[in-house]
Amino acid sequence: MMVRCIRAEMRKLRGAGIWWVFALLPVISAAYGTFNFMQNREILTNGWYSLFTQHTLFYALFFFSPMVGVYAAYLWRMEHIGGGMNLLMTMPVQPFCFFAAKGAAVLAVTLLTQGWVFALYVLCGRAVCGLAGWPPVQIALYMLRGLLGALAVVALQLLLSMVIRSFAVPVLIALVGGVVGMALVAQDAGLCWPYALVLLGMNANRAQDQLAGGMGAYALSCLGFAALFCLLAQALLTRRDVRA
Amino acid sequence: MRAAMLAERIKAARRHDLLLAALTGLLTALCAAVRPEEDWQLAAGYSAMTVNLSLMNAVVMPLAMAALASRLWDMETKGSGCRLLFTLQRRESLFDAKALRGMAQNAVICLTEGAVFLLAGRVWGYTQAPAPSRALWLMVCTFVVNAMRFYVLLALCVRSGTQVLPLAVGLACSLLSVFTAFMPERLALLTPWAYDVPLSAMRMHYDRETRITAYEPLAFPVGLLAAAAACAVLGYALARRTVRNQEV
Repeated sequence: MMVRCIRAEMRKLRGAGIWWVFALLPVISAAYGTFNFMQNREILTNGWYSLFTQHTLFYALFFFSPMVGVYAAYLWRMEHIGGGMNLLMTMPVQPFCFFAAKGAAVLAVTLLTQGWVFALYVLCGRAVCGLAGWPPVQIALYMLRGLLGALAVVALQLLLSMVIRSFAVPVLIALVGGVVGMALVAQDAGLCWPYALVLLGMNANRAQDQLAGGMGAYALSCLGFAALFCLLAQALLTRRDVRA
Repeated sequence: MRAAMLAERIKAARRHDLLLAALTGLLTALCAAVRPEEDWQLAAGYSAMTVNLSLMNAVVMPLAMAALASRLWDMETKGSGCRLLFTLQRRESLFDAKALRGMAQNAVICLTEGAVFLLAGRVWGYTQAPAPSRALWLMVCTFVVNAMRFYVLLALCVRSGTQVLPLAVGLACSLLSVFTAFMPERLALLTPWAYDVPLSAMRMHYDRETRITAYEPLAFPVGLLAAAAACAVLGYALARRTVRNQEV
């Protein structure tokens, strides 16, 4: 049943406008990151690591969370209009299955986004910046680690979009959350804020691994937040009356 | 017009739009606020906050205005209300009421930021003398640039009929604003949606050896503000025309 739900959610993404968001925003980030790297080569001397920080700093800081917010809001919007929520709640499926299926769909798009960002990074590094060889494996691990942090953001944004029937407000909350996350990371309190986890995981603002020796706490934080938001969603779906 | 304003007020009941606007302004200003740790930071607190706040506005406000515009128009498209609305009232009065509501929210954001700007110095004990004229200039510039963003994005909401496009454009503008903030000034003049930084009338100089940042106040760029205001008026005209010609 879960597989069917996931297939249904993925079908809803066909021809969706969010693919333009997926495609274009990382290109803007990559273009500026490459430009900044080329302009400051005498300061940014750490090769592939320096290019990575330029490509992903603003992406991870401010724009990853709103992008995930747009994906989540789009999937819930279909249920919020035209009485879709009523229909959803009358289906012979556990209500939480819908939430989990939407989570799987958003996570799939997020995984593709991370892949696209990485592909742009490698392309710009080799073709434009003339960096030798290939990026270190550690960079690919940072991207995967960022995906772990994305679990918490995906769960939170899905919860917000489920409860708040406006398309735009959860996206705005994601942006403001990212800005607050930036301040918290500067205070070494990033693990306490779900919107800061992607920045920590992707190591976007430093050359040295800032999670060295702290992977356990990071993983616990990511999975803990994701579980918390999923439990809240489950409680809301089973105990609250439908507001279509 | 009064009836249209009243209708908008009723629609906004329990949506807490003004509270959302105040929270947006508050959080943006708090993230831009400088908590000084050294004497030179206390002596340049307000200047640093001017630079930080203009940069924060350039990042947050495009998407914030997209969200506000989207919320104001979304309620009409969700239940296909336009068809009924356009037969019950003049399209221009509907638009003007929404525009005024949007500007009220914009004013709340700017006033909240101005209040935090002035209070931050008192709370953290800035030794720099507060400059109310700079705070007022910052609020006026933020209001005008936000108005330009709001009207253009509202036109996009009406035209596209979907909320993904204006939000995506708001996100892209936020991303581009971050980049133009660090580019040469001449290039920044080509991006009206990011006029917060050139309008701040404050230049930052960072000394890599001493690691001290110095701030140079500049003359208020009235010409640039006039250009931003002209863009806002154009945006208003574009949005009004879009609502007037929208096929239902």
